[in-house]
Amino acid sequence: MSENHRNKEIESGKDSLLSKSAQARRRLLKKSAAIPVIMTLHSGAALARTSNVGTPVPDINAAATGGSSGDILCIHPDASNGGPLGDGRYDLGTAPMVSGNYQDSDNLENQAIECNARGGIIISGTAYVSLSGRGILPDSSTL
Amino acid sequence: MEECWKTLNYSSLIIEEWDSEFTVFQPDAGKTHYLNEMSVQILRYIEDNSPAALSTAHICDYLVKKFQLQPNATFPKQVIKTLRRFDELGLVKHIS
Repeated sequence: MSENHRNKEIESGKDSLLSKSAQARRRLLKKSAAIPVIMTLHSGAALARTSNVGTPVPDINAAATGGSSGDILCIHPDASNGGPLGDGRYDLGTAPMVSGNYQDSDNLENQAIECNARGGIIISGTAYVSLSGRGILPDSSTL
Repeated sequence: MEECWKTLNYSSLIIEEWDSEFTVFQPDAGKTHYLNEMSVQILRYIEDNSPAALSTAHICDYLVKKFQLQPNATFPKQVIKTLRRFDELGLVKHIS
């Protein structure tokens, strides 16, 4: 394969990776060639580490497998800056709340129903530990 | 007195071109920047003239010729803004 051919394939691969919005952004940037432009790119990994996005557990029993009822928790996203993202995930915001004291402390399904009735979402214990480890939610041992 | 500029640790930068656009990885800061061609030319021009520091006016003249621009009042302001941003990021050093 010639060097030129290989380069063209690489270029075409780059283009196919770009979404329509990214291509529009590139066109805009190219038009601004008459002025100097510098933008600092932010790491996606760093953004993920600071993300307060959580996904409600779809299967209460699976989330609790092998553990006690503490394996699922009811979280209330911060009403001022959190809420559903429209794709099944929730932005928990900067100060989400955790609630407990269920009427039926032994039945996970009833707890899930009660949580939803209170306006909360159920997240797994693993997700909770991840969030509490960054200080967003209190340590589960204190609940 | 007019502001002058020198590059700062230019040799450590990892510059990759993507169809006349550039990503510049700055190991000292662990940051990656997007630069267009003109911004990269500013850095390269300052570096090519090192160890002498270059004035803002000198850089603007070079860019106007290089990119065949019509001189106007706002262009030097945009260049100064970019140079100050470079300074904040540690890509260039401001010499009074």
